[in-house]
Parts: sequence; structure tokens; C-alpha cells
Amino acid sequence: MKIFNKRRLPHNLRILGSHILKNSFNPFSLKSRLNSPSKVSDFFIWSPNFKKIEFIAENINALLSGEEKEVLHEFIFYNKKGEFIRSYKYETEKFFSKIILPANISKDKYISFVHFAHSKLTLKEILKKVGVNKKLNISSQSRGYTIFSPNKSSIGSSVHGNLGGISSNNEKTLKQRSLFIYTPAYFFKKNNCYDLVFNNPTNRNLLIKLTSLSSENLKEIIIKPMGTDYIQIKNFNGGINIESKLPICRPFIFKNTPPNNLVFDVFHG
Amino acid sequence: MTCYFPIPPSIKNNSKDKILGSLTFINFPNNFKKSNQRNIYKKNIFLGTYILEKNYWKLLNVVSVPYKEFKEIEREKLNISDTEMAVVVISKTNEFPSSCTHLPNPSSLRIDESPVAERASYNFSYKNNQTSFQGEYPKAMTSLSKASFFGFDTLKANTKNEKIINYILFINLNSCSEKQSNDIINIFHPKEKNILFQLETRENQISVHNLSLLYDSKISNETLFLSSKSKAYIALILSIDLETCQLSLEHTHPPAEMATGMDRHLIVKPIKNNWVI
Repeated sequence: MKIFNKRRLPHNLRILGSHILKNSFNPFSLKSRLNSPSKVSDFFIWSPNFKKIEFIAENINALLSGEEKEVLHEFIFYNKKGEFIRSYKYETEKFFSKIILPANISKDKYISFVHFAHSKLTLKEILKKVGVNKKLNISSQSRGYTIFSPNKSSIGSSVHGNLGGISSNNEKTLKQRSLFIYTPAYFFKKNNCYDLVFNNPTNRNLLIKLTSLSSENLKEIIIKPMGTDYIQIKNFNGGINIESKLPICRPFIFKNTPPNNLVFDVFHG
Repeated sequence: MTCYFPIPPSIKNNSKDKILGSLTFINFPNNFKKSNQRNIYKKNIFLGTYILEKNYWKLLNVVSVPYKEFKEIEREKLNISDTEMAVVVISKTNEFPSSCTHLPNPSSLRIDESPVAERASYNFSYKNNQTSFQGEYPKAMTSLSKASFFGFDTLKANTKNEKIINYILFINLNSCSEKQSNDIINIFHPKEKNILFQLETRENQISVHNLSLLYDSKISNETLFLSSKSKAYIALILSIDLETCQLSLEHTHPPAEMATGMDRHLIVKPIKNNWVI
């Protein structure tokens, strides 16, 4: 007989229990798990090295309602120091939209942005309308894709966002914890040039240390909250370790970027 | 969570060169807390590749990977067809059954509860260019009794000329080799919900479809929805410009990714109720 069923525990107690058990591995703060913001965004990259950058945005209100619904897509850009630069808004009813992002936002080689889809109803209200009535611990999450193109005729290269957990009122739900080591299963080749781009979705400065698999120090960077920086790797064969206090510290990897190269790749490390 | 690794397909197009699929593994955990590093497994691991032969998984070969080293497994070098299912199983011992109806349980290199699944690099190369992403096929997905699929094709490139080709790849893996039933993916416009195309797929197969051949110019730049009532898939969209050799690759997010929080799974049912047709 099953005498313990965690699903019978009160909701917040379940969260608290799971958080205490796995606290040191959890990228999210306890506060955000107990009282989740209505919407959060991944953290995306913009770069002036590309002539065209498109964003694939989801309209979760429309997808849940089963019909097109008005949505205001808002993009908020931050410079490499994490300071607000500007926002950009795009209105549509479509389920998915491929939106061309503005040019000339910054001269910094890489900056970051967040995306929110604003609709009349919150996710919880929409779910209630479609019959999900219980008290919910849920946030809508923008997990869109960015497509980078070096010129207007290129098919570009697409990549999804980095875990951001940034709320629409700029609350950071991700936390730095103890040191973690992240190792992509990717073999870097010395005839390619890679920019490993990192952004910091937390409230504190983020120290990132890059070493080779043989523990040779390659570089260290410190990124301010909401800021962006990159480490260039060239003439290097092998794998890398990324050490930081982020439980998930995955870089965007830009391989052979324009303007020096017109054939390139962007992917998640 | 342990994972299997289906080997990506090779894809013929209308040029003489193929797009070649490969996987890159590393014998090192993908993510861990630094204070736990003494627990890292430092011996060789073994990668066993299985293919489907009639109703059985047949062991094709085994390669050994020393600690902190990489191994690339290229489909072209395995002497198998471009799209037949071939799966890599990680093991800490060199003990693979030569034939079985259920894939052996994979070993894990994870040493703690750090986030991020065990991953390999999925690569597609064309001439001298390569596109990659870090991926896996979760073991939990290989024994689903009830499943369905919802996806979208917005990631496809705008087809300005015949040199630009969009492929969609549906990967379905079941640990049981006897599961090989056929399935249909419906492609429809979300406004009218009328089925425009039906693509044939199968359990334990990587189905590759050329969307550029399928779609006419009127719909090639619209977002169409994709669904299956009975099977789960990992769907990838691969675009290529044969003239410049530029490649682009990404997976479509499953609906649960559109939310976060303890109850995120509750958005899946209403979305699938609307769109799995």
C-alpha cells in the first residue's frame, strides 16, 4: 500500500519540500517558485554583425484559445553592461510571428534582449477560461527563436533563447548558487573561430571562467546583471569547461561570424 | 534521466553532395557541481550502436571512448542506409547483447542533480560546413503507451529560389524493436484547420520530408501546424542553401516549454485539444 503520496501534500509544501531537497541545484529562487510571476522570458542575443535578425514569437493566448487573439510582442534590449537601451513593440493576432528586429540598436558586438507577449488576459485567466480551474503555479514563458542572417538573401541560422526567467517587471527568478561546471559535448576545431556569448539573468555580477578539458585557463569574464559578454576561441582543438555559479551556464556559440564569413553557425553550447 | 541517441540521417538533395549526419560524444559529465567532481567516472565508456533488423535490435558495433575524449559517429561510415534507425547506447561496461527486443538500459555520466540532460552534439554537414545542436532522446519517451504530437513549421527558411530547401525530420524511438507501426502527421493551416498534407512516418524511424517540394509559393511563407494523434516525435527543421552551403537547424519546442512553474504541464492538454487533429 502506498502510504505517502506527495501529490496529496499542500501545493506550497510540495514546492518547499522539493526546493529544500534540491535547493543547491535549483536555478530558480524559492520566492519565484512559491509566487510565480505571470510571465517570464528567456534571454536572447542581438548583434550588429548581422544585417537581419528575426524573432519567432509565440502567441500562447491564441494557442490556448484555439483562435487568433490580439497580442503585443514587446522586446526590451540591454547593452553589454546590462543597461536598458530601448524597447520595440509589434502587434499581431497570429499564432506564431516571424518579426524582424530593429537594426542599429547598439554598437556592442553582442547584447541581450527579453521578449514578452502581452495580451488582455493572463495565462492563469486564459487557463481558467478553458476549464483549468485549480490554483496554479505557472508563468507563461517566452522560449522563442532568433534567426541571424548576414544579408537579406541568406537563410540565416536559428537558435532558441538561454534560460532567462526574467519577469516583465524585471524581477530575476534565477539565482547564482555554488560553483558548477558545464561542458558542451562539442569538439572545437582550430580552423574555426568561435564567439562564446554569455548573458547574466541574475541580480549579481556573474564570474565565468573558461578552461580547456586539460584544465588550462583560457579566459575569465565578469558580466553585470542583464549584461552580455563573449569569449573568443580560435586556434584551439578540443573541449571546454565553463565554470560559474549559474546552475546552467550555456553559451550561445557563434561559429565563423560575419562580416568575415558569410557561412556560419549559431547554436546553443 | 538517461537518454538514447538516434544517429541523425544523411539526406540526398538535388546536388551530387549529401547532407551528412553525425553525433559527437564526450566521456565527461555535461554539468555538475564543482564540489562533486571527485565522483566523476574516469574509466572508458562504450558506445554501442544498434540498428533494427526485422523485429530485433541488432548490435552493429561498439567503440570505446577514454575519459575526457571525444568520439564522432558518422552515419556514412556505418554502412547503413541514409535514414534507417540507428541508436547509440552509452554503457560503462562493454557488455551489449548482440540482439534484443528491448534496447539495453543506457548508463549515465551524471554525478549529481545538476540541471541539463545528458547530451551529444547532433551535426549535419554539407561540403565543408556544419551545423550542430546539443540533443538527446530521453529514455522516458521511448516507452510511452499514449502519446501525441503538436508542432509548427515557422523555423523553415523563406524559399526565395530552388536552391533553398527546407526539410522536416520526425524522430520516433521506442525501446521495443517490435514497435514499427505506421503513422500520419497532418499538416494544416491553423485558421481553417483543413488538412493540406499528410506525411507518412513510423515508429522507430527518422522520417525526412522535403517541405520545399510539398509547399507551393502561396503557403511557403505561412506558418502551418503539424500533429499526430498517436505518436510522439522530436521534430527538427533543417534548412540549406545549396548555393552558399549555409545550413540552419533547430528543434521545435514541445508545448510544455511555453510555460514554467510546478503546473506547467497543465497547458499541454488544452493546446493539444485545440491542435492535435
